[in-house]
Amino acid sequence: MLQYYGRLPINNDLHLLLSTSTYATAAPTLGSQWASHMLKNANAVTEAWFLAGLRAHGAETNHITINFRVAGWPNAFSEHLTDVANSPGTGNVLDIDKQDEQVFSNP
Amino acid sequence: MCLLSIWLAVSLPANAQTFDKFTVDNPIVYWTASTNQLNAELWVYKVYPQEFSINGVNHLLKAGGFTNRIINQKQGISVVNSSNTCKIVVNPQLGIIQYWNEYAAANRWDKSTHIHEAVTGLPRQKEIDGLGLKLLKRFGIEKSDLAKKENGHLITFGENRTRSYFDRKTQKYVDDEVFMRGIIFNRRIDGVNFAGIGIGSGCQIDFGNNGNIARFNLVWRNLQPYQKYKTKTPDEIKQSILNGESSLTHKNFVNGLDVKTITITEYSPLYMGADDNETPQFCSPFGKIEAVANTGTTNVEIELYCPILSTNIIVSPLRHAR
Repeated sequence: MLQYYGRLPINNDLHLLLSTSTYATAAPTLGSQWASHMLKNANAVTEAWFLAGLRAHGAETNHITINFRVAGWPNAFSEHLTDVANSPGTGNVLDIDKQDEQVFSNP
Repeated sequence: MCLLSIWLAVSLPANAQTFDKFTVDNPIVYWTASTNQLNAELWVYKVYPQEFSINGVNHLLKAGGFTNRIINQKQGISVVNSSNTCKIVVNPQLGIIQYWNEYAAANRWDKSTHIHEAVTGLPRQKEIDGLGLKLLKRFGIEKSDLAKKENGHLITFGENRTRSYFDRKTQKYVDDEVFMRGIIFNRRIDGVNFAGIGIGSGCQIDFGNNGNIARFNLVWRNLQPYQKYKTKTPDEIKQSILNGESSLTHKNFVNGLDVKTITITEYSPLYMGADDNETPQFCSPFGKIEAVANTGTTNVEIELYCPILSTNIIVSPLRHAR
């Protein structure tokens, strides 16, 4: 929707936008899981977000399908928390990518 | 009987306690569920450090392009390549293995041409089960160790990582292209499945280009029988609900105090795992209950987690000299 209306906040300052592309149930440990994967396990920011989604919702055994989404500049998808000096590889909005992963579903 | 034994029986496993207690005001509880899943007795397991297969760990090291090999992993290992794009962590104390190879999947993007790496040789969906089971076998994990449905089919969760981007080469927008494909298996012990999606106890495996392993997260703790308990009868489980001992999951919410009748439609025992950064001492079973709660005006399908062990121990605590 943001992209449709030309309001994507991804710019030189915001490399990646982390969210969901579906409804998501409340997951109290999502934030701590995300931080833990970035800091303790040194995962890339994107990877840490998907892993956090899997773990935070993993204890449930039913319900809905939850997809997590990351949108941003192509070279930012592999950025770690320590990559503070990186700049987006392109300023062309056409290059903004997105990645999706299903983090919860019924078997 | 020691307090620990009583506590193990009457309390829900820690991860099941994250849900709110389901407090009710004396509703009528009906049991219409099949009793096939009622086990007469179940073990509580004690968690010990795991000894992972050296063959399996060496396979991961080779897959990641590491030249070192291990002959013993009791102390665990943690290695990362110089570009910080591939790493392996083996932690026997936590009972986990984590492997991540960032460039096993088509993750590269050329800064000069702005062209994405092509997806080549990605395993097809129907191949994923077999590839995953083959990898697990290297760690001594057999199909019989994995959660299954009543019809005998494995409980698995398919995983696809997709990407959407503008392809400079073809000048076309590529939508939802699968570039990483995988599967999650849950663990099973004594014929009882573990709850949730395999990362609390089980395995997550993802493959990238040419079937290379992109991600392998194994949570497989060394569980040794500790105490065997008699399990609750349907009447005792109903009483547990009335006593407010169960928790209401996020399936649907209802105010327990408004509920007039509860009809239990499905029941299954499950073990609860723990996240890969947790160090649980015990692994206990609990009951998952599907039910219809009637408030007098509406029916709500709810799910409850309920303690299912009676305080009646069949086998006294075992002491394992490890």
